[in-house]
Amino acid sequence: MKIYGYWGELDAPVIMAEVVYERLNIKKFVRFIVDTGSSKTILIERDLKRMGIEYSHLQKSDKPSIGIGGAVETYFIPSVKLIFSTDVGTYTEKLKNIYVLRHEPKNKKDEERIKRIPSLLGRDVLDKYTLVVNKKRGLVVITDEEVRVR
Amino acid sequence: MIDIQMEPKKFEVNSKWFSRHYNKLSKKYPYEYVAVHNRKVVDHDEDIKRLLERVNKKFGETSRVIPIEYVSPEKVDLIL
Repeated sequence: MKIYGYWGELDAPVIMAEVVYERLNIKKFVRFIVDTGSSKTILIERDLKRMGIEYSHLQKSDKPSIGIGGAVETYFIPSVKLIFSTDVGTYTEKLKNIYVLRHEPKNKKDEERIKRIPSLLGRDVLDKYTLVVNKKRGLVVITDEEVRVR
Repeated sequence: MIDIQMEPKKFEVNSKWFSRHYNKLSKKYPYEYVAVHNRKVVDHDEDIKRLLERVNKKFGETSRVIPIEYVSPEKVDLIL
């Protein structure tokens, strides 16, 4: 199985998935930046709003997170599915939680910067697969197949 | 009727079109959110809530495949 992505406008690898939150009957496609530095898959506020989810629907995490711009409030949505389109059909990845970072901008410049932060596909998903990226070749692939490097 | 099979493809096409045209869009709609569908900007607003209300009302279920992204003319490095 291969999940294909592409190199996006921020010169970063993008993978698309349908985020499904069955408890609220919500399904939306979301663009994720592939981030091997992030331990968790993260939704940002813009995508949360697109999904029509309010913070009041979410559970607040006890553990603070370090994100862009310092510490942020962390929420999570339990039991979420990510449905990827692959070369052999669709593939569903079940996540115990998907995290949502709530940034509090201190000023206008901060606010503008925060609006540009993308949702992130983190190691809770990536660690189960092989990630192949090659900017020169425009290649972004997540696969469960064996990859040989010589 | 919604073509479920085609939905991921449509979102992919809209997303890739957005990425490819980002520079042009950031000049045309600076500091705004844009909604992209069928290789064009179907709506834009500096307030995402207002934009979402209009897009959801106009496109209904199809809004699932419409990326809404913020565009800025300022160049940034994404350091994660």
